[in-house]
Amino acid sequence: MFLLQANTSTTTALFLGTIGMLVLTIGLVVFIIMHQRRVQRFQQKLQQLEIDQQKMMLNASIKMQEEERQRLAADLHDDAGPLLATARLYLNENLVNQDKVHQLQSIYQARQIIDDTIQLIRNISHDLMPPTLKNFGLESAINDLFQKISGSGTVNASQRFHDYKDRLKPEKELLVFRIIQELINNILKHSNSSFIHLTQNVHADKFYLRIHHDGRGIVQSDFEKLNKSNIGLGLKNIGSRIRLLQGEILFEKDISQTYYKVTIEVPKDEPYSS
Amino acid sequence: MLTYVTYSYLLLPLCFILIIGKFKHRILALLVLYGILFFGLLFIYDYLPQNFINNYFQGLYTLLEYSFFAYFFWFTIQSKGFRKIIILVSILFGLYQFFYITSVDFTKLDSISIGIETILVFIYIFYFFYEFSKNTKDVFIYNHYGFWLAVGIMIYLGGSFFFYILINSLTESEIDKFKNMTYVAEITKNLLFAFSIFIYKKHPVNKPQNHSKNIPNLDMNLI
Repeated sequence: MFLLQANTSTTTALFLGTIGMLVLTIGLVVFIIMHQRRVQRFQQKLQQLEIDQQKMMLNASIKMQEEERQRLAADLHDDAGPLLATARLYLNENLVNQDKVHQLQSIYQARQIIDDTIQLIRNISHDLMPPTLKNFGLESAINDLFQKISGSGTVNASQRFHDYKDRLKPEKELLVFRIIQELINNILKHSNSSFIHLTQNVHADKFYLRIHHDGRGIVQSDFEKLNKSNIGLGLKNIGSRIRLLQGEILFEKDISQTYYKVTIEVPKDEPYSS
Repeated sequence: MLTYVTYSYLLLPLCFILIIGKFKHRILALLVLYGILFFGLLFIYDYLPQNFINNYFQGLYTLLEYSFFAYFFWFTIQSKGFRKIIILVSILFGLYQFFYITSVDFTKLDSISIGIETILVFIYIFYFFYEFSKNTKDVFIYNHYGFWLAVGIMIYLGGSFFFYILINSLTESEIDKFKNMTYVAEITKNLLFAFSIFIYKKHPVNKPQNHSKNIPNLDMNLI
């Protein structure tokens, strides 16, 4: 009787255990599938958010372009326009006034004004596309920029290019230069740092730039937060330019906690000869 | 019923020949090898002396089966740490099984080894599912061959776990009654394994390459 009871409980345990295991298996499979679907729904939401962010960045970039155009229009209208109008007035005076001395004086004045206008237009043109960048490349352009900054006497800006034998394509160089300009602008405006140092190197098929400064800075999470918010137009521009370059940007604090670092990684293309 | 089980293993090489035809992927090659090997083992089972079956065959069968399953997950799981754990645990299990085979004279089956094997393989499966659910982006889990392998193994081990654990305390009539249940689980596993070959053909999986992020020297000390 005892043996019979023992065997009955064993077979019951066996039967229930097996059913339990199979239920567990099916339950796990269903759970995994449901969970994965939930994860995918979440990822779709994230993708949507990313699309929204991209739209925001595009808007920021368009806004920036519009602002740039407005600035350009204002420069031409408010500075070059009046200068040329004044030069025209001086030249007009020559038609009315027949006195040689007055004529020479007005021609001289007109020439002065035209020289100023030429300088003004050159400045505008240099702002649009730095000639050093176009003619001599990123290294020289950054060198020029840093010399100007150091010349002010408040910030010590230096740079070191380890390996820039093969230039990036001009359009890439311009994008990288704009990013550097924006970053330097931000450092000068917000960080209150005493030095800025830029280093460059290449590794495999990647081009790297890193900016160090000893002022107040931001880390990656701040960058991402600002990128998603409605403020920080300059950072959004950096983001969209990085995206355009198919590169990466990393904001971090040095291990020593003394410096902030911004590292830019850009895929290198085939060598460009200037 | 055992005959059906034995021949169900042939589904794997058969599907492979019908669908793929080439050894393009290590797991597929392994599935074919698994099918042929276990078909062979079950085929010769009746011709082996009872003494050999009791002393070595069952233990070797468990060890071989565990090795195949462990390799499936070792290959499919991407976490290097967990892969190392699989190797370490497998070595320990191999050693244990070696001593178990050589020192213990089991009456019907090596129940303890089977129990350990089931628990270990279930852990690998849980981790595989966990990793997949964490990493997946656009691929549905059921479009991954590993999912069907895992489900097959779960059904097989789940369906036979209690039977193998309790087999030494069951009577012959009870064994005859319940063994069909394990056979069904085993055939289901082989069908799912064969299905995973189809899935692989439809959605081939390439192992992701490790992109090492080597940032060159860009630091302050280079001024």
